[in-house]
Amino acid sequence: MIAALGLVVGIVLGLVLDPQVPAWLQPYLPIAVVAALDAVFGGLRAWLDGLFDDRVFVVSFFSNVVVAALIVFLGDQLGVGSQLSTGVVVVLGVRIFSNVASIRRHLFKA
Amino acid sequence: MSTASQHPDAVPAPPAPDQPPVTGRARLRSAMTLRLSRARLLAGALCLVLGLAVAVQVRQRTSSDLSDLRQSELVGLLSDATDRSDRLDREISDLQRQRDELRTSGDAAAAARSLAQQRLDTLGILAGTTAATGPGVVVKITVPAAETTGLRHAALLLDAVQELRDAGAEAIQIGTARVVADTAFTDDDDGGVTVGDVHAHSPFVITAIGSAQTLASAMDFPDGVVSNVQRAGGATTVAQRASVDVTALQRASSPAYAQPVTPSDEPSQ
Repeated sequence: MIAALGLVVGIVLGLVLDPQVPAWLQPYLPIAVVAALDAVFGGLRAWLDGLFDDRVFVVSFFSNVVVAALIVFLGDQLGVGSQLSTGVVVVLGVRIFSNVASIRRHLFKA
Repeated sequence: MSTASQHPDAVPAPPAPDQPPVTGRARLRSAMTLRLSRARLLAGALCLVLGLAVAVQVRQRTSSDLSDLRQSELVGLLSDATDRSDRLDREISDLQRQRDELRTSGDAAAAARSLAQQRLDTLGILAGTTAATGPGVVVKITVPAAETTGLRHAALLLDAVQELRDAGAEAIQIGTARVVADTAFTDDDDGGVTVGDVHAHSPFVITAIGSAQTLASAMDFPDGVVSNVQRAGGATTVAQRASVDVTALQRASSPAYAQPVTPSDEPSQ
């Protein structure tokens, strides 16, 4: 519940405050958002499995974000930026799907 | 892709004391309650960050499309835009050329039309089918009736018209008859003159358009019209005018025998 509240408050704050994203960060923000989303779904699944650990959640959140941004940055430097970012998005999407499937099994027993 | 990647030590978290540990549904229900614990607060904080980032990114996306593209994509966009602008430049120069061509051809047509109109006016004046106005002279020749003198005046009038023509008269009118190249002067039985197909009697009023000075002196030189008329017992008055009207018209007729010579060595248009 607090997590859901936090999410809603964050969205509202983002819309109201409308912070300006610094230019160096702009290309990496979407990838970071998807990575964070993957971490959150993972955390939700962990909670439903009864295996939630807040330390693990925090570490996985930040590590996902940093690693995803690093991979994309490295790809840009090497010249395979768009391919690597596509790969990262695909992998994160697959993980999100599998976490959501687990959550679904918990919730609907199906 | 298992939970092991999320939880390397897989320690069950210390939940709130009365949480039933059994089913996922039950855990979900327990999550819905507003109990405060470090775990929940941390989760809430990170979800807040996530929400913030999502909102900002969506805002960013809808406001500007170019800033979150990578360099290679931007280069591609730039070359596309350059190609398109080159193509449009070529199109512009083509259309400009077409417009200039149309303009000059339009001008040529208008010039040809005005030239043709000028020629029509000139020929009309000479042929007597158009009324004319301009500076000139009005010559009034008064001769006594032919019965008394026995003299015929057609030759006199013809002389006068010839002198005027030699002096550069461009349109000549006697009374109400226009005088053109093929106008005949015939003596009448009653002492008048038939000019073309109009009767004229003394006093004969000749209106001529041309250089007034030149025409007037053409009437006046020794052994000219004035002295001839005097010898015939008549009188002449010559009045120079800044503007005279020759309004009598001659019906246009096509030649019955003469044909125009087509220039055979001109290139065909």
